[in-house]
Amino acid sequence: MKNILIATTYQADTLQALKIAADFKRKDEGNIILLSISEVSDSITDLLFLSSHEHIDQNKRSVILSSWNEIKRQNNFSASLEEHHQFGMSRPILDQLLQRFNADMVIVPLSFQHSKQYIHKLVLKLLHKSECPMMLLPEEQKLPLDIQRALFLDQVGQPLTSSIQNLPFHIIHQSMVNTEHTEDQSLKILIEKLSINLIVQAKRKSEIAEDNSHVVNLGLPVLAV
Amino acid sequence: MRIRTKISLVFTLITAATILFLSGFVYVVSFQHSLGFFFTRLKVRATISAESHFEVNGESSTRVREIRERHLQRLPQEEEFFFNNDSSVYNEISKVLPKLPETFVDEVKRSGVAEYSRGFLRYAGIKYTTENGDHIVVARAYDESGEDQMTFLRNILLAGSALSCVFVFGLGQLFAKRIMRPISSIVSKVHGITASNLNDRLDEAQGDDELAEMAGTFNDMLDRLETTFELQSNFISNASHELRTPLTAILGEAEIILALPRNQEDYVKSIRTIQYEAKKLEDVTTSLLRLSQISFDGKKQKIEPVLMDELLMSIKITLDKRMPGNQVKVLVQHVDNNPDFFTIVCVRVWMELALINIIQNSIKYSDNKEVLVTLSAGDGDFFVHISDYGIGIPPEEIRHIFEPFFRASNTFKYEGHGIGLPLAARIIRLHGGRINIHSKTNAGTKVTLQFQQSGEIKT
Repeated sequence: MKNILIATTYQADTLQALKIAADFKRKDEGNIILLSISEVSDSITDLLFLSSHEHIDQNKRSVILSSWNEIKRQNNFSASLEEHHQFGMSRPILDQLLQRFNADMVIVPLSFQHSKQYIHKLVLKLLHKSECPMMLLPEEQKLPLDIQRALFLDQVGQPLTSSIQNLPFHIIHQSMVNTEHTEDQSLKILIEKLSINLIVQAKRKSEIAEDNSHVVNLGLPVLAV
Repeated sequence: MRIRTKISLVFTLITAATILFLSGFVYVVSFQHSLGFFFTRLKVRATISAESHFEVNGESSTRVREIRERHLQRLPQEEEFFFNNDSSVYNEISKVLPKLPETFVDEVKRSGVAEYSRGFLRYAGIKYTTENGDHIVVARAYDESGEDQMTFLRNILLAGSALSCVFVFGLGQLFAKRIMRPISSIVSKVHGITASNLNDRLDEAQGDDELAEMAGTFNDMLDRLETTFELQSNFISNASHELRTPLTAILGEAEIILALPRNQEDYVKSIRTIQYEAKKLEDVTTSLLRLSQISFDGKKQKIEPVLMDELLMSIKITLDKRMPGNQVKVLVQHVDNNPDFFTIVCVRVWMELALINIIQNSIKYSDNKEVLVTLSAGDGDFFVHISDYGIGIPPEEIRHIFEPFFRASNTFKYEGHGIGLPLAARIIRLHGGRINIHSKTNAGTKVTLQFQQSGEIKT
């Protein structure tokens, strides 16, 4: 039983991430874990670490949780929700977190991707370098209602693992469509033609936003594996 | 003999053998030690006696005797004998001590000292040299304390061994009972499970020992049995329903037409209805027959390597001929340097039938919307994905869709018998493949078939 982690700042777009995660876990009995992260407190006592209340906007959190309960009830989602707050981050800590929560995917909403906090940028960077698949969500209004078809952009000849191929959406490998279209045909036309709702690509060892703008600009969620 | 008694006996035998060996060892070593100690004492006495007996100086001889009397305790039956070491010494010794063997005398002559035991009567002989020549001194005593000690030790060891064996047997019984208790409980519980309470499970399946493994295996077997029972009962009820519906229609139609005299047009119409229902009946029975053939006639079919990409293309051609307006799109991943990557060892006709069934379902339940069929490579496996934008399957019904004759609740307006998908699933599994279905109501269904490269067929 694998779980899905959602890196969150409790902004409104966390709900979209929750919907996608619950949709993926319709069949499996996995949990969804909301992961909030803050810097290590500059304090003289360990007791301050006991509470994450000061580090999370409680109003936003309660709005998210109550809305989620309503959505869960309406859609008959079976996945249960857990929360975890993490003080500080490093590569070993992230690896241990992914192992501890038995995560098979991390979903990162746009608000987290655009967060100005150093710790959030660090988490994003570490996630790019980790083995765990990571889904980067676009703006809320561009997010498709159902993710049904994905296009796998295979830049490095990496095979798709069984766990990715067994996800609820249909993955179309780039090489399946290249022969049908002329080379100058843009990715956008291909995506419209095939009704693609998700881009899957192999992880690069740096932020996708920096050197992968042509994919991010498509406005689709990107699953880096 | 019961396993419990066997375990106790083996346990007792092993322990008894070990204890007896140890006791024997302790007894022999103690006996040797006691013997050595007693002979040392005898030799000391023989030397002192020789000194007092052969000493020329009368004063020192008396002193030696006094010291001996004062400090050395006299042993039971202690006696010393003195002989001149000449050619007739053995004769003289045998006159006084007739039971001493000749070897004893030879040993004293050769090495200067000899020991001999007769029961617990010990003899120690030494060679003593004086100015008048060599003499042989023989000291004799009865080792009474040694006898007492050895008898006591022997009795203790025998009694201890016997008690230990009884104790070990009792302990073994207790231990064996504890070992066998879960087995007895499993046996009594399994005895109690019948067709009416197949949902009962053994509680002993917790833990990681062999018994938990056995209980787990029983539970797995019960899971399979329960599923099979459930499938069978569902199958019978569904099959009777499917067979009964057209039969009722035929009988009803025949009754109505025979009730009154009719004109020829009515007869023709009625016979056409009967023919239509009979055709439906034939379809169901043909499908049933095919389903049973797939189960039992596996060895009669020709098994050959088939290129899945070619098979999918030929299915597309067949579908285009059969349903010219279909929107099936077949896409194949390009695999470098290995044109045979998508090879599977299978019964081609069956595999074709399975794939056509799944694709036709996608076409049917999506009202001829686009159906995407892709063939892609994975890590050591390859995948056939078939997806549509159809009516989907209600989540609570997904687990039943591989049961023969089961039809989802939202399929009432589509014709079908509920045999195609179970048949396809059976064929896929028979070829070592896996079938996985993701579906969302009114959004679509994705069927994933996973095959091992060149996987061998299970017959």
